[in-house]
Amino acid sequence: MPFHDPFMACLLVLLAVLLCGERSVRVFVRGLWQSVPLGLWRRGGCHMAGMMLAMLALVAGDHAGAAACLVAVSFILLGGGLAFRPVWGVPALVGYGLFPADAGGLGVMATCFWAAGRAADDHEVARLVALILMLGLGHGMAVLHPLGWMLGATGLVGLCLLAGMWSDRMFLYRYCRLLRPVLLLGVMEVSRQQGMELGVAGALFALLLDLACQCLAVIWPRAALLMLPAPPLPGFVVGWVGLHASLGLSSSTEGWTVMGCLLGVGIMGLSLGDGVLVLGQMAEVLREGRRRDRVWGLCLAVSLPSACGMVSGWLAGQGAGWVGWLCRLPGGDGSMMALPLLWGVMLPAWFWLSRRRKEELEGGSLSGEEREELAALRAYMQSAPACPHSLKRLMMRGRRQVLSVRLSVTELLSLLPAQELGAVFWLVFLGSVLVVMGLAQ
Amino acid sequence: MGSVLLSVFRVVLELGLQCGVLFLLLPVMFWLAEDVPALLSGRAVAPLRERYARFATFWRLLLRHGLPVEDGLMLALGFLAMLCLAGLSLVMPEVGSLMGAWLADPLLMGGILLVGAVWAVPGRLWSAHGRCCATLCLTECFLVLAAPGVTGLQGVQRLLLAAPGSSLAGTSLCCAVALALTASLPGADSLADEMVGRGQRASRVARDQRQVIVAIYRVAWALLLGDLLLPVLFGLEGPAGVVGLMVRFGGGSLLVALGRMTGMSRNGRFVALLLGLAGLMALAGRFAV
Repeated sequence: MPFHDPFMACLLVLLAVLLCGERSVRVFVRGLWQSVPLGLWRRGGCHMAGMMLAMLALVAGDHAGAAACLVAVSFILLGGGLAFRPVWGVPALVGYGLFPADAGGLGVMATCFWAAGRAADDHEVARLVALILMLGLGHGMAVLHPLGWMLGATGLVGLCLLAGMWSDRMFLYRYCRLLRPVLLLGVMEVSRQQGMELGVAGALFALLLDLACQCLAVIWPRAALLMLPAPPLPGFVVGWVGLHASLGLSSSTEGWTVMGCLLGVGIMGLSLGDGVLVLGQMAEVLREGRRRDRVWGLCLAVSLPSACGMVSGWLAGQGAGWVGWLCRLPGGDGSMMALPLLWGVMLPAWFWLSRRRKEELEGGSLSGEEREELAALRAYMQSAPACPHSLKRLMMRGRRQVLSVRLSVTELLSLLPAQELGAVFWLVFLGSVLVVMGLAQ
Repeated sequence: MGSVLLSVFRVVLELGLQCGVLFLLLPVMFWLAEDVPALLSGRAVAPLRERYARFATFWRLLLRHGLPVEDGLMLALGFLAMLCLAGLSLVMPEVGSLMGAWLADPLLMGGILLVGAVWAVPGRLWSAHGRCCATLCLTECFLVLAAPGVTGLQGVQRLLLAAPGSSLAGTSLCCAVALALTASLPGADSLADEMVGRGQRASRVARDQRQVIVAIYRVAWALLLGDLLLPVLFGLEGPAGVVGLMVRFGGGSLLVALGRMTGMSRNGRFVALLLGLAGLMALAGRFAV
């Protein structure tokens, strides 16, 4: 299947969108005819050159050596000298240039992880460019050795965590956003190896949606709220579809049963960790929230999953069924989620419920509507609590019965051989497991 | 053209009927979930018709004045979750089965309910929410593992009717008990503490409205537990669906009350044990086929 090139094209389009919309690049372009601070202008120019070099590296992906050189230069430009460590970065990239489809993929992955982890908060874009470069250049390795790709990514993240623990607590959560697309790419390739079309489509959809959300979050920082793993938002869709894609792997192939479950729970857990980070950063934005921002955010949240679904369906060769994406989102194992329909029912209900005619319920103003409010309060306060006497008598009798039964049960239990509660519990547990094993056969 | 109009009319009629049944049943559910345990422990409570009066007042004030934006969103989400979890199908079975199969997903619905919990009492109970979320993910995993290819609770019910006695029932039962022990929706008193502590100048009516909204979330949580406890009764057609709904809700609220009474929710080991049992059952059912 000629698939490699459309995926690269998609990554290139994402990079181009990033180049058009990123803040420091806008500052650089504005600085061509206005006056901006020189330091900011220079940094914007570096970012722009770094992103263009990254696009060139993706285009030159067939010549691994040239791509490795471009990656190194683009990291130096993007991270301001911090993001690329020549002591081991150069050997790693040379390794990638020699064996681009085998273990050399780990080299470019290590370099990118290091660069992304070193990018501080104002270099958000460097992290995303490193991620896209890692996905694009390491795709050759992921096609051939998907299991090695996923294990290598996990191990490298562990190493980066050990090496980067000095900075702050949020460092842990920052890697969630990086590791999730890598795992999704691995799930996609494993599904393709096992010949599951549904799994490939689902994982590709989750991967594209994830990358699109991160791209939006870089361009418009408030859009990071879309990545919260709360149900109607796109961040939850990423986690859900990723979970179901790896569950589809576990339910229809031999040997991946337990691994698929662990992968699915891992992907959802990474989404949750990312949500903790986003909540920590965006708490005050969430509180102040202007009206126009909310409208834009709602439009994005409704339209983004369907749009990404159409693109991914076109990439996976099922472009004809684009209408289906308007009413349901397929997970990777044949299950569906009718999230667009839920939005379609929820939005009118929300607008109908929350139209606000009078403001006097909000404040404590008791001027004109006092009587009406008092009437409303009386309806709440009318309750006359009651406990019927017959019921009370019945309960007392029942309590006496329970007491006597408990006494006799204690007597009976003292005759049993196993006295400890824990031992009895384990025996019951074992017995129920055996019963279920028997039932299942 | 006429047939399209007729089908649209039937869909609207179906949704309206389901909403009506829920409006009628919700005060009973509030009464069962809050007043009956108090009554059984020997306290005096208000009669059932008081619940109806309060609920009618809630909707009357809401229709007259509207809600704030956040409360409106949360009420819409909670009521939709309730509608999907109820699994009724009265006039047109296609609508009910669509909602039951494509929307009544345990992870999706549980996520919506957890969002409601975070909204009601923000900033506290992070560990409880995280544990609950992990349990929901594992529930979804085990259900898919025990029955590959099912979609939502409707799929679980169809599979159980087709092959009774499979390990799927045991898996979902264990998951329901584990979820009941990780319940993290705030109670009425903790919600009141939160609203006082936040120091909002909201009026009495607004606070009562918020209590009713969170009570809807609590009821929906009990219903989710009941759906997992007795999945066979999900999505029956016609009046049997209403009976099944009440039975499932009774089972779920029994689980919630037991979890609160025995104080097992602090015991994380027990939850892990139940989840392990569910995983064993799912794996046993899968390898036995």
